[in-house]
Amino acid sequence: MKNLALAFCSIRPQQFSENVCDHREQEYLVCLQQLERVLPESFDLIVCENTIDSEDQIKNKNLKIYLADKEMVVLGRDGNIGTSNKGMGELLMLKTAIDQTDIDTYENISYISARKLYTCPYVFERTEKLKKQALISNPDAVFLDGKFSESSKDGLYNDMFFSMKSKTMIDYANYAMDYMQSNSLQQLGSEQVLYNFINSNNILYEWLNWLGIIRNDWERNQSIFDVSNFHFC
Amino acid sequence: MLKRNTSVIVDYANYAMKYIEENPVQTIGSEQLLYNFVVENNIDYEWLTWLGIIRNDWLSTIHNNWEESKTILNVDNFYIC
Repeated sequence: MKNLALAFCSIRPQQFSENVCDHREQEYLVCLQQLERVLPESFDLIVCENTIDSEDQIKNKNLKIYLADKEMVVLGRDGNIGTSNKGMGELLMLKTAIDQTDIDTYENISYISARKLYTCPYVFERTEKLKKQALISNPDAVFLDGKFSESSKDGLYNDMFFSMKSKTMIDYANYAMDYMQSNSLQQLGSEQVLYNFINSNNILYEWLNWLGIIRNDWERNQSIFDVSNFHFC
Repeated sequence: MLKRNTSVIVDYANYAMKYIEENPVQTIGSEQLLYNFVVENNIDYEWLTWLGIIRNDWLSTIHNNWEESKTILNVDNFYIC
């Protein structure tokens, strides 16, 4: 059976300036192209987006051309419920993608926060070999200037990347929707929602010590291409 | 005595030393040397499509334009492979 990679994008969030959104377009293009380079053949890719209503809103011609022949799930700007809690926006995209896809044809589904550089196929190869219900992680981060940052280990799992058996991912999407609908304030982050789902349902999981992902956390100092904002985990 | 798997890298080290001793000018690079060793000796190998390594290649650009590349932590010099 095949596997499915769901890549979640928020290309032009309305809370960011035009300049920042223009740079995000460039970054998404680079990251999605690299994702495809390392993605094993057993994976289909679906790109999910929740900040644009039509392709005319994308300024970067190369990104527009790239996305034109990609399978996409598009929620439109009204679907971006993640302006203050962006993980919730991704969870709504997850639920929508699952509802619009023939999920039974896939053995495993990988959840991918797409504005990251995948340095190698390691996490996808682990997904192909997955025996238990889920493949999760909570890695620390090492910045390219050498700083080490330990991640919080208190009641959360990293959700930049994780994989689940298809049925488990469907259960998780429904669990997350139930949480959002019954908690209008949504005080939990998506990483805590993932942790609670895994532990309250006794989901058996395999663990990733490191992801092999590079992230540009430019919001640290608002400088878009500053090496001190890049880190791997 | 069992032949350990590490014997291949021992053979490679000896192959490289022999090349260095016999070729004082050393016109080929270490990457070519590795290629020649594997091909000439029909070494069975597995393949890595990507390494997952980040390299900061600041040194190579210094020769071209020191003023622009003298910052060792310049994001333009980092690449993955």
